[in-house]
Amino acid sequence: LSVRFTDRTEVFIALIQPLLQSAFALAMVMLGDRPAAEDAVQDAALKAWRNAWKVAGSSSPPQSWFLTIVANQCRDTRRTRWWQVLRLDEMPENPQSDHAERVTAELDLDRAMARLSREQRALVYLRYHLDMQPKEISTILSVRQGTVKSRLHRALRQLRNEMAPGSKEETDD
Amino acid sequence: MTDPNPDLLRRYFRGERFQVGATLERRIMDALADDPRVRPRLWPRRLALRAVVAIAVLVILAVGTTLPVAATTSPLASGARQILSTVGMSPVVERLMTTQRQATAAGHTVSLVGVFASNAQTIIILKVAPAAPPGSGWFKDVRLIDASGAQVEVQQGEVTPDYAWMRLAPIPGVGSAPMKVTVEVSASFGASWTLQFDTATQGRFLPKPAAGQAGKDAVAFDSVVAAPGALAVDLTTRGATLGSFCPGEPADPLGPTGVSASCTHEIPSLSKDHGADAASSAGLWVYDANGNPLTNISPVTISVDRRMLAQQELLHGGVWQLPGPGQYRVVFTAPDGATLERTVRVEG
Repeated sequence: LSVRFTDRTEVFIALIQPLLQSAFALAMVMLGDRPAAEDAVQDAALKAWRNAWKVAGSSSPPQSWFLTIVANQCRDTRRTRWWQVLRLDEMPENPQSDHAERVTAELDLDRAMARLSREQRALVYLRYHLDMQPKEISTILSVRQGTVKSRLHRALRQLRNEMAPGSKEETDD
Repeated sequence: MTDPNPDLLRRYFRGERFQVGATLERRIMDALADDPRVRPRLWPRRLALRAVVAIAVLVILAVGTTLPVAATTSPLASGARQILSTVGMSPVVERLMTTQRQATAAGHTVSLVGVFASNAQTIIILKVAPAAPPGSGWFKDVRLIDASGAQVEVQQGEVTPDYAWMRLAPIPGVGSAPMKVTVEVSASFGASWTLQFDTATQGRFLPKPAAGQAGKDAVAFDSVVAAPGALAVDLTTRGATLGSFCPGEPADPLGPTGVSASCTHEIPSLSKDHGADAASSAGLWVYDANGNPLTNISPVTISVDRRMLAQQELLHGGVWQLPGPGQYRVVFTAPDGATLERTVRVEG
């Protein structure tokens, strides 16, 4: 990154703003709660500002660098012991649409994703939404490349199993 | 079978749920432009009403009991010590030096009346005098700033017209070296107060009591920490459900989409007759050598996440006021009434 930051607003515009959507989505994927995700991204943005000088000499792309901070922030949040119940958004019970099949598939996926661990959801998001390669994902999630591949494989297998006919009754309360 | 193909996954992540809200960008901009320290997070969404009980109990103590103040070399100012003793917490902060224990603005004085800091949590109790009118918003925002200028995350809290109790994340590095910590409180009517304390001494990890069985529950101690004036106990049980300790909680507290859940025990009554009753209630209790239950500084919280749920595990943790050195009994009572009792010795 060749930008020399002179004030905080410039930092945000140059560095954080273009990454805000992907950062928020990652936090949302990991935490499953919008206020918690917003808090995590806000805290991550402040940490990014404090460490903005590091990125200038870093070989990591700014996106990986910032998403690493976001992922770590989400992990720190996870470590806290005093949470109340966190739930994903309510899902519609009876989707009525011309694309009912597609919607049903997405609801099945929604339920199946909720069954994954946060790390697994983050893996799937980084790989299939941001199209990141295992090497970059390994940097963000602080795991080895081989671990990324194996965990991704297990996550997809679990998703398939969860979405298989007959598993829905088991997942619904 | 519906396969989670890449297109379906991409469509899923493009869903409205994952779209950043309109206010987040402004919120971050404000935080960046305003101060190197982050604007305080929104006040906890679901406040623990029982925390009020904790404060009330402490106030009652001030009227009804005289607590011994251990001899100490603490640099805590005598005035601060008196303030702390008024809520029965004088021993708790022997480990702290308060350099700015109170501040006055808009006719209200905010005092730091209790702090417990460990590597797992930070608990702070503030008092405002005269009491603010209900709804006046004397405690609109709070920041706890560590020595590096970073803000410590607020996790839970409760506010009354004259007290504020809050539980925060651990202060980074609190176990490594003394440091100055700043508490900033701002009111909705424009007033603000800045207080400071220095962490001076540290608590000690006591030997973990032996694991054991309480009825159907396996009990393993995670840590027992004694600080001057405070005893923190954390343990993990395997076997019982969250609902069996916290009436009203569903059998599956996480449901299909939950991530983690916790409930908070009520602070037990301080009446001497309550000790025996308390021991028969499910939960974690600490008694002195005479069988008197210790006072909670922080209510016992029981928590579970999805991994622990699968293992039928629960985390129990609480902090009690420690009158001084001596032997204390830690009692875990299982939902079926069976108990596990261990003795911990706190040296002087």
